[in-house]
Amino acid sequence: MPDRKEIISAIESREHLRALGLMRQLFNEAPTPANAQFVLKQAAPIREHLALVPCRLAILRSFTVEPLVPILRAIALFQGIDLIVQVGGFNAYSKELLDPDSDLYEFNPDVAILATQTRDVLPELWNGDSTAADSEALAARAGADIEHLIGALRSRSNAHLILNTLEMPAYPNAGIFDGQGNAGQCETIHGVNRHMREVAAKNLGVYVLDYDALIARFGRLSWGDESKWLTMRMPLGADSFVHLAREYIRFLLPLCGRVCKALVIDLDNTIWGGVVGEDGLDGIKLGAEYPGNAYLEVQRAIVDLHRRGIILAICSKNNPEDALEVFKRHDAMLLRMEHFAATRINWKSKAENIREVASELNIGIDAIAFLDDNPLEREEVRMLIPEVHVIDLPDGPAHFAAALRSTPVFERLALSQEDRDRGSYYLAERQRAQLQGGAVTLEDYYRSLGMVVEIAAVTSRTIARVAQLTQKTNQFNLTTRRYSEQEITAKAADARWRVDALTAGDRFGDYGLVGVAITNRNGEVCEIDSFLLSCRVIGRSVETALLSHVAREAASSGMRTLRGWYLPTRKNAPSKDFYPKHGFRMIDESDGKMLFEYDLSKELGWPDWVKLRTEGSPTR
Amino acid sequence: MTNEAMIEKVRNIVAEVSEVEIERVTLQSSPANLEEWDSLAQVNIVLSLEQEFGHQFSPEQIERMVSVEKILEVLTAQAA
Repeated sequence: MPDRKEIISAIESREHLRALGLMRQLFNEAPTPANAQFVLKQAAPIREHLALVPCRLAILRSFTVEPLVPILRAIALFQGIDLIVQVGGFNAYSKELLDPDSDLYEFNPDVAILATQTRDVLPELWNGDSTAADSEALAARAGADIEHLIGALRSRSNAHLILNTLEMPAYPNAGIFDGQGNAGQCETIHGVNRHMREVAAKNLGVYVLDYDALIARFGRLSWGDESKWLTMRMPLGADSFVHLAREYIRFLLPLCGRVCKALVIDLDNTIWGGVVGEDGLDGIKLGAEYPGNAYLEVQRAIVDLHRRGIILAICSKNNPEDALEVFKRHDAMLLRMEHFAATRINWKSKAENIREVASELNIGIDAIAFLDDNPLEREEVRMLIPEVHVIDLPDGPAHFAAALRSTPVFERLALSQEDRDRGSYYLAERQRAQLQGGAVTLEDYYRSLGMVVEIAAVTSRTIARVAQLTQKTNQFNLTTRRYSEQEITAKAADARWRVDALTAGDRFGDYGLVGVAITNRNGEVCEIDSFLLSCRVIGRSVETALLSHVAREAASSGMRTLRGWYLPTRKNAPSKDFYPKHGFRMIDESDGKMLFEYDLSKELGWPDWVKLRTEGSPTR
Repeated sequence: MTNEAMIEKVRNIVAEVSEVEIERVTLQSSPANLEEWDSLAQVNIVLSLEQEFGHQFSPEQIERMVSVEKILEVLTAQAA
């Protein structure tokens, strides 16, 4: 375990990322409230060096959650989030949600957690005082209560809300008889949880944490500790707080945009047993028997991530022919070359290869996670590129798959069609790159792509994806303003605002919804509040098409001037020259923030090799 | 774990959860003479000790843990 002196001296010598790594190690070995508080105290003065995303979290609760707070804040810190936490009054969650003057609304959270437990919400059910005849009425009442509270929150706040489901008792009051028929205690709790899910699904920004499943995962009998409950009214045991904190982090990462977009994997002893260059195609371990089946489980977990929209890439020290032969000829392989958007099979360092992959895929280095069985490779990547999320693997392949599945940086709260199809976009991308090699001029290349776009006002069907793009897009994003689904909905309903979404495709495939322009109108000035494109389509003049569309729309509604800011971030340098390149002139500048203006009496040209699809006509 | 190491561990935990400098925590420190050692700190001390020592204290043990010295007594008796 790293000792405290080493951490303090790393901070004193301004090695901030190394200090953070050491603190993570110390905390993971003993995730106690004391160690969490040590971490928070040491990190406080170096926070501005850690590029943290701020997040205000309100915890509304019916039980003692206080020991959770430092643990949650420490884990959030390791994941790049500066969590500011407000804990609501003990069992006062209804009042706080219903009272417009409550501390909750004063605090103005980004995210609220409603942490309740069955014995507080439905005591008659927990204590076995209700009868079978009551069970449906109880479930309906609990559902209606939740719906009422969500309504109250929504009328005053756009905060995301995370609801805990209600947990089952370890021993139902009626014993094994509870499982007979469908009006038992556990079945009634299931009914309440179903109601809760239905209510959550009807409301934007409301998510369900399956608290009962979480307890089951770690063991119901060891989750709580009767001594703590009877002496301190604390239903969780010492080890359970960190499990609960890690589960909340799974929600906070996608809500704060701190997720990984790509997984870079090693091959030998990671997705098959043995070294193909030495053991040969028939000598590697992969198949129905241990350890081959353990590696098969790893591959299954990786395929599941691919289905979730995570981009896959390979970095392996191997002769390319040896490695590729396994993909082509080994019968047991679940992963195929088509799953991978980029491959680096060579003898260069992993760090160097990972940097190349990031630039080939056009994603930030901090959007990459790395899976390798070799602790030395992991350590090297951690040291040379601390931004990369390095996944720790236990000794022995039997637990590799579970380690990968428990990694929180791949969590998503919504899965769009774009996420599901992402793998095939990148395959088409490789084919486009080959075409570009053969094209004579850039314009020839654009023409040969046969790009078609559709630009339309946001609809209920596209709101989720539009919000997701504002939250995730970093590089081609002029202002990097992050919006929730609720905020997009509000803007779409406001006559002064316009939210346009761009969908694109070319002869190699559909890109899906990849561009967003949000504008507002004031007098004769139209201001571009947000303008962003997914990195998948940058450099194909789709950006010009979207800007031209914005200008035309503004001019046709009587605007004379188009304005837009460039607000610099650590990542959006690629969009810095966008406005001047399109004939805008700078009218204001301070601290790197630049305001540009365009006179709408001139037409802002549409790139004629991009076809605009009007509603109803086919994409291609 | 040596006696010295155990004392250091307990003092560290008390200092960290009470958010005071380690120098202010002595064997005699208790909720009565260390203002920052409040009921929440007490909960966090118990939880941290349980995780560090891999033992779940009984309600009777928790009731006895009211100073650094008393905590050490409970831990020593437990280990014996």
